[in-house]
Amino acid sequence: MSRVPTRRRRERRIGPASDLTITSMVDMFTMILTFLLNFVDPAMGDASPLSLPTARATAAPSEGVQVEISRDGIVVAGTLVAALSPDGRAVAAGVERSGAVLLPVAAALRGASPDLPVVLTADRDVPFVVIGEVLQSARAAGFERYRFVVDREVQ
Amino acid sequence: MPVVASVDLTAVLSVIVHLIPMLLLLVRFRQIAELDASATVIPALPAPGAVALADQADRVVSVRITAEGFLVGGTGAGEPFVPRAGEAYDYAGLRLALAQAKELHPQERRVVIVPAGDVPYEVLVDVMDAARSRPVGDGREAELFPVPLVAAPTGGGG
Repeated sequence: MSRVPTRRRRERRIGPASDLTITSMVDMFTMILTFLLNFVDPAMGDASPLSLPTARATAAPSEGVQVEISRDGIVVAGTLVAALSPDGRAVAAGVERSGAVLLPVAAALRGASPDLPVVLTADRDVPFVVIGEVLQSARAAGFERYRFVVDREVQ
Repeated sequence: MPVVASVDLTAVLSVIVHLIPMLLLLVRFRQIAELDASATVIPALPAPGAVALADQADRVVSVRITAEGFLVGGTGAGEPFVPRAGEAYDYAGLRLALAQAKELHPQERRVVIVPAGDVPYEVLVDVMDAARSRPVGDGREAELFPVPLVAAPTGGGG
């Protein structure tokens, strides 16, 4: 029966083990890993549904009522309230409207505080006719201030 | 005698060390900012092509965005046209025209922006950005019109 070398015997044979504590290093790496997992783009960069315009603006993102316009539709505070036409060039024909005011968008915004600005995040290719109608709808809901989210141009 | 349990974390560390470079390759860091358009939408202003803005072109600083270029009001010379330079809009020309308007209206900080319905959102943002300031050398910027008023369409559909 072969004898399994004990730790003490191993240490005697190869000298004193270097007492390297890696616990704090693992802690640190775990935090970095968690941070990266939070911020990594699951779409891997290329297929992101929203491509923001770029500007030299330096104002930091602020609190407000989030309105997002992508090629799929208009999303108010996380809820899709109106679809766009298949080519993404206009609001879908079935969306109820009164002039340039989109009624579902105005109704969704009425629940929020008009003291806050409307923070608009839109795809760079969305035509202004859609943006304008969203602004008109926000105005009909009592909002007077707007902020446009952009990618900050790196100089 | 107390027994010290020693967990070997080397394997965990090895996995993490491999994961971090992989995630760093995938991650896309973005700097998000906001452009303030705190002024109200002006429903009374008609879409481009109508006459209301042209009538008061020298009193109101305005930029009308069309598919062909910019019409800049408030320069004291009617509404000078800044045509597109090939595929791209001429933002340097726009800044120049707005600088003329600034000389005429030094106290004015607002600019009315009237985009045509088919103008992409990106162009509106670029115009707002160009109208805020212009470079004057040595990394300095001279203020132009940092308060944009976006004129939204008044009619239906588009």
